[in-house]
Amino acid sequence: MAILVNDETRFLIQGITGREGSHFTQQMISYGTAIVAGVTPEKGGGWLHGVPIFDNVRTAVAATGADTSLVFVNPAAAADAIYEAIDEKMRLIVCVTSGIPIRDALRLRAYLASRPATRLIGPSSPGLLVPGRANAGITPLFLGTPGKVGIVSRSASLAYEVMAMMNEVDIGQSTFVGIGGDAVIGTSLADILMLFEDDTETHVVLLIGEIGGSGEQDAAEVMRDVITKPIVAYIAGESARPGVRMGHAGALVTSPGTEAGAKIDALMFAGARIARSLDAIIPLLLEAHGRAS
Amino acid sequence: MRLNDSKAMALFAAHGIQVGADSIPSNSAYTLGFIFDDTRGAIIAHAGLLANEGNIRETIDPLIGMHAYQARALASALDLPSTVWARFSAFCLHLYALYTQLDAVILTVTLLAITEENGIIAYGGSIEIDDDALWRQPSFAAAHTPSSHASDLTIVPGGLPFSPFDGTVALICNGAGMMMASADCLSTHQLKPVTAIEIDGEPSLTRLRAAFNQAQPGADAILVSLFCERFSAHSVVDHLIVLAAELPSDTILFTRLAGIDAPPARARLIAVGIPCVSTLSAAAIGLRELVKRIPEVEDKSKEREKD
Repeated sequence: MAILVNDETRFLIQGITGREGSHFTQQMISYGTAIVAGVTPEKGGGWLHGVPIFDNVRTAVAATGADTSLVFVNPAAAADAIYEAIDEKMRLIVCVTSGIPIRDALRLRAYLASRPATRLIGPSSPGLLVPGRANAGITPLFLGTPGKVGIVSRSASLAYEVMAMMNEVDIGQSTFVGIGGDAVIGTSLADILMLFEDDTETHVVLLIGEIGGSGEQDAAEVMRDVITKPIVAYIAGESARPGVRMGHAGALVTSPGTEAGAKIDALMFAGARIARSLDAIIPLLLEAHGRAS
Repeated sequence: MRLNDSKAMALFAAHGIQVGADSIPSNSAYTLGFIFDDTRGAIIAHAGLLANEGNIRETIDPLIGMHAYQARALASALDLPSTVWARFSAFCLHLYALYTQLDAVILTVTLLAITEENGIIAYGGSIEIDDDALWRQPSFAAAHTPSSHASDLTIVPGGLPFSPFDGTVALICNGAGMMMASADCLSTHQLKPVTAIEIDGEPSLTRLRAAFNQAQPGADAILVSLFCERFSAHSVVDHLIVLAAELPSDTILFTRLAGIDAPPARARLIAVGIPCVSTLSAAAIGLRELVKRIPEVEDKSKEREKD
């Protein structure tokens, strides 16, 4: 089985009537994703794309049995939407919204720490893709074929690019998880590595990291201690200047250890095969994939 | 958004913090502040003697805020006399309230003096406000102008976000990761970006023209690197052909298009004389070859490297 979602997962969309929420709900439904409910306060009772709309998560869960929330709510209201989903004991919350203030994200993460039954992916996540089974987020529909490589990435655009390259050489994916490019996120690279380790469908893992924070070093530590599956890693931002933010809120070299070189070293010493460019990923994946098969 | 010394001091004063304007007392001087530590994903209170690089740190629970005992721990570690602990503690809590109220990621009193009468006076400070929180800080949002602070992803009014470099090639990409990967690839092939411009969303003619305008006049060459996901590569080609005709004759345009309908789109660009490839490495190598063939650009690049 893939990680995080399975054939029984029932999704609800918070912010379903917004521009993005509506557009991507339609896209996800066309992929076959089980969207069972939408939530927009004060718009309960309506329908959109064949999905019933509820005023709040509680009534949506009671009526439909939804257990996973995808958050498309605007940044000013997104934290509130996530608290609502946590309090209604959603198993998984994927926050696609980007631009949530750091203070809000820190408080959310602290709140979640005492509620281990709920996992948050994101904020600023492109979501999850289990090729052929579920597209829970904003990943373009033409990407992804079923296969044995698990992908975890801080960058959506690089994951898309790599998935397109993988499709050209017939390497498929078990699950793609975009954890988000913000400085404070709910689920780390290391967390996803652990899930892939336990997933029988995943034989090889591709980790796409970038400058900023210490998530890659934490992943390296988990690799050394727990992970037995082959890992290919690529870190973006080697040319970044210290102190210059590179697009993502979390992509910023602030202190020693947050630069690409330190992350590459940590992952390499932990046993990852390092791709020094985007184009070098495929040969390494082919090699690891061949060995794992 | 960064507030410089005078603006920070004005804010301190407006929030009841005693601010010194005259000469700095010669007795003990300290630094004190709060910072979001991205490596630990936590808010850290820090304090230190100005003359000493070592800082004392306390991690703050974002749900509860700073405890008085943590402030007293800082005072004790700074060797402040116990007679000043209560006042110092109140000062710290006041400062932390300001930190959260302003949605700051950094708030530092860069020079803090404690007078012989146990007064606590700030003589310098800086504040950096979370750009993502400006929607609830309307007084700052209105005054938000392009910043010279390096840690800002600079935004030109009405323009596109970009990250500054010091080379000669302007990068136009969709997605932050792609921007970084493209800059890395150029560097690997002895080319340096001068700027990396991020087009978020559909690269319409208007957005692409804005990006081209922002790229000049600092760039000798422009590399457009796009992964066509939710938009047609053919529409991008239409726009690029229009914009190529508007470019100065001495500016090189190189393109890289990937995505589902990219192959025929690439062929269309090549047919009208605009180089277009599918991979980043091919783009960097191709662009490098073009730059080499134009001695003026090569010379300018070398001069900049010397500088």
